[in-house]
Amino acid sequence: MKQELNDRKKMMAQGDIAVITDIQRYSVHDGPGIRSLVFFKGCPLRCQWCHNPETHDPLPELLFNDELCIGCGACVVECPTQSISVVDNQIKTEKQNCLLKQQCVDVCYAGARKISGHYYTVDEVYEKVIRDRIFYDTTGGGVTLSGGEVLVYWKFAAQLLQKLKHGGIHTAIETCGYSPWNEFEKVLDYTDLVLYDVKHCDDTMHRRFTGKGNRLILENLKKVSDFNRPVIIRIPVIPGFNDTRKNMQEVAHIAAEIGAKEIHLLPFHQIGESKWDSTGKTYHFRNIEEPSKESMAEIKQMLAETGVPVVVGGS
Amino acid sequence: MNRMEKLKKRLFDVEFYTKKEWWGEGLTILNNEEVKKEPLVVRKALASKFVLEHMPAELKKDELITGIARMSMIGFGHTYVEYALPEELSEAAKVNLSPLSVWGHQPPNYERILKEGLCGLRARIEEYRNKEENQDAETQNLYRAMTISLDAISAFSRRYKEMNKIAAEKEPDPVRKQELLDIAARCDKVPDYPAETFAEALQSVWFIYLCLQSNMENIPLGRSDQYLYPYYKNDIENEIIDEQMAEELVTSFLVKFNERVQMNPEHWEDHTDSTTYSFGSDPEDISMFIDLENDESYNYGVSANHWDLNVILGGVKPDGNDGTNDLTYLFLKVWGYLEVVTPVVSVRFGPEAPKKLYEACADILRFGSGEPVIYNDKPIIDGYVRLGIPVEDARDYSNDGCWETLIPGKSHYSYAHMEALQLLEYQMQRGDSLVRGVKEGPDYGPLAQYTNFEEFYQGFRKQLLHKLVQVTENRIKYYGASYKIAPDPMISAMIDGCVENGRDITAGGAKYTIFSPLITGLSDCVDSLAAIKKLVYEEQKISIEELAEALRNDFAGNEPLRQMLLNRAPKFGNDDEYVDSIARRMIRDVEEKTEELSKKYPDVIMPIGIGTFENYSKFGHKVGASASGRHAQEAIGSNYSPAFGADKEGPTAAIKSVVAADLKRFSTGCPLDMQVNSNETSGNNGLQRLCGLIKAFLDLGGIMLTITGVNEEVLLDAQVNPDQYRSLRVRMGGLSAYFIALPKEMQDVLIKKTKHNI
Repeated sequence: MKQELNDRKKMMAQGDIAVITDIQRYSVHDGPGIRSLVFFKGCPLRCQWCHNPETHDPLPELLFNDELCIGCGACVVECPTQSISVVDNQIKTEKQNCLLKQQCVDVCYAGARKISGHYYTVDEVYEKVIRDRIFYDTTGGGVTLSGGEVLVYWKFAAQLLQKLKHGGIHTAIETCGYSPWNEFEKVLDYTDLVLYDVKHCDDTMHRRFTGKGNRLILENLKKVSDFNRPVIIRIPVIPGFNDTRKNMQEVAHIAAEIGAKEIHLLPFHQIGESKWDSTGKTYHFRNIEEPSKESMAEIKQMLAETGVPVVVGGS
Repeated sequence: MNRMEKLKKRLFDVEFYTKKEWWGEGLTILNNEEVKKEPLVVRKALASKFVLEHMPAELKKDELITGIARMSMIGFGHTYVEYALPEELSEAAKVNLSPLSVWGHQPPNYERILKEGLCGLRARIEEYRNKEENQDAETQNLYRAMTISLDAISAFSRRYKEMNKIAAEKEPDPVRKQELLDIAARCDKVPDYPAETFAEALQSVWFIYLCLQSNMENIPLGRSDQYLYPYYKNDIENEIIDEQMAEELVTSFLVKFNERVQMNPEHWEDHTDSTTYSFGSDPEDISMFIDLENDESYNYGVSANHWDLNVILGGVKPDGNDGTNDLTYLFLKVWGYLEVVTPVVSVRFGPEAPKKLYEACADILRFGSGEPVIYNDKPIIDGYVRLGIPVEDARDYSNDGCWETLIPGKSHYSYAHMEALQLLEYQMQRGDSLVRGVKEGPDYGPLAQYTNFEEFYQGFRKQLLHKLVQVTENRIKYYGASYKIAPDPMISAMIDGCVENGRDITAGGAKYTIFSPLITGLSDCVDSLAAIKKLVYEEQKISIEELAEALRNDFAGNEPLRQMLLNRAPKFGNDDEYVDSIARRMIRDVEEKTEELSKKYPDVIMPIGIGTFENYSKFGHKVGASASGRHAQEAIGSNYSPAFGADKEGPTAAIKSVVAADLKRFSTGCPLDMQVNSNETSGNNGLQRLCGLIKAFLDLGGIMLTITGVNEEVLLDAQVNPDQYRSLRVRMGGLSAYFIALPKEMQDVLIKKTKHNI
């Protein structure tokens, strides 16, 4: 098992395989047209509001969704480390002992237990995403690499994107930008459109809420624009964090400076809450309200003054 | 308020809440000894004359098109004046027929009526009546009945001429006075004489529809934008009317079809019986019934305010050029404005369909209406040509009121259901129906005989093809049967072939006789077969007998088994070859057998369809639990769509699944019913994406597509019935989640959001 994991890690380092949580067809908010969205597992940041927490850690992990559990108890006896028990009529799992044997997943017919993240080769991803080629053609769509953070798998991503470009398919990446530039630019070679997150212009605030500072991110953003790729700035609007006038003005300034194609405002929502619960992680944003329509309109207005088109929500 | 606003307001405020009288029941023409001596077909014509002479007539405020139809509704049947003698009634009852067994479905040749007028039709009847080969009594009687019927229509239009004239005399407003006089003048001219103006053409079509409808014909409008266009174009070019007037005329025309709508269920009256939609069968053979009875009240709700009325716009012309015109867009615009439920609107897309048409349709579709229904000209036309129909006629196809296609003005069309999921149940339960607790279907022996999936599938195939042969032979056997009790001389005078052949439409007179077997419940059946293949025979998680037992018990005490069937076998509609190949195989088997039957009955054209119509709840209600994990009596997937909750990979995967099959013979139609979320289609980007989705569907060879926007109601229903919405995703930037897997509070938030998006 350990040998297997080491082999896999080697292959990941070489860019031969990647851990992917989902390949989603008919995605319409992450780039133009109808697209297929590839979600990579692993991210250097730990944004406290994240709605895809199952993509933080790069390796496959066990998820449990209480909403789907039918209480049959078949999982309890299956676990080789006896980490599953029934407490107050609910299934409880000690994830730290999980060996990823999947025995509990196999007997969970209701689908409440799942492994998040599977290994794919470049060809395997390619075969899946070209199935919708005709829809890309008729809607100006293509493939978007997202996650998690696609740049964690920069070698794999570059190969995949190159293959897609050779196949005549429009490519996009969604990234937080936190990556060594020499890796980033290899991916950019085959990327048509970059959706770039700018979470906060203040380094301290950025570090406090995401775990990392923003200097590398902002430096890379400048280099991306010099690389001559269209950029869409994405701002997750997080109440109490980045929805201040000062911050938005600074982002606006950056967007205008780099000649961003569009700014997308993504209002904070609580859809990810149940996913935090299924990973067993602690969710700090549980009680935070979504931004009001009025405040979104105000922010949009402010940003529109830059002359860069502003869209609320994805494309 | 302008006229359009007044007309719409009258509908929504007054007409929809007025209870309509079901006139006709209890009346008779048999109180006259001379009449009783007449042959049945003539008596039918005399009855229609009586109906048109005496049925209620009324003028409506602000109308530009005049006339009201007698009350009836698809879900609630018809009433009619008595014209059949007791011995005729009892003979007919032996094969489950009555005077109410008027099948409808096929449109008359509206184009010809507009061009030639009824006097032109009369002249043709006269010409054929005098031919030597038509001198026998039966044929003479038919021609006589046709003439009486057409005369009755002419007299009817004069009733309205008189009423409008009188109203004009009394009218104080000079503008309205002139309008009423113009209407009266039109009633004096059409449908007797050829139409010349757009207003005359609309009035002519409405009178024809009204008179046929009042004589129990549930017929569609066909290609209204095509046959009305010359009159519209001529009026506009010669400045007889302007665009504003054209819009008012089309509004008044479409409003007419909605004056019988009743929103209040307390106003509904049920007049159906087993003969209402019968074309004949042995009364003991209950499987032949299109049974509208069930113990749930919801069934009626679905077919209420519905008259099998469909208008199909756009598409190629008989010469092959694209026929989309200004009237196409005007009809769409007015229909969209009125927000009415009838006529159902469909749009044909030829290979050169303009971008404007895609955008006009997408713009209506994204607001949740589910219409227009999208038709793909190329495969439908190719299919008909392959079945021997000349290409000009094939290019002129329309639909029959529901979605099935036919050749308008020239066809007799009928269909029969093969309920695939029910047939699989017969195989699993040795001929028993689980819901009705009786043996209904063939028993081909114990399940133990099937030692692998191939053998099991062959057993199912036997059930399926046996049913196909049964419905086809039943249809063939009863061609002509309804002529003896419910002939259609009125519409026969208006359908190509009947006058020339000297035969009523019910007796094979039409130029084309089309019969389509319909595969019903395909997706749930295929899902069940896939589950059996994988979990019973490949992985041996359960034996076939144990599975049959669990189905008998509707999975009682065995929820894990049901979850396994639901989640551990692939489902149709996810672009998964494992299950899609089973669907393809089933389709191919039906196609091959139909081809064989077609050679046996060369006079009948047999395209195939895949459909449930709006009765997917009713069909599901008849069948017990299925191996797909579906509970007993739950609704089945509609038409050619994935089973409810089965499509987890989104619309593009569902489309790929349905086009994977060879649909060459499926000109009748096989709609894929799709849902899109409102936040996926907003703004111009959303509109263009939807256009692209439709184009890809057509390019891939898909035959028919309906698109419904997911709205608040759908999400609310998903909260209550999560099982039927297992595949409902909500998508946002960088994320998607299954709606039913979200906590209730989240669902409520999303429902609120969705409300605002529309």
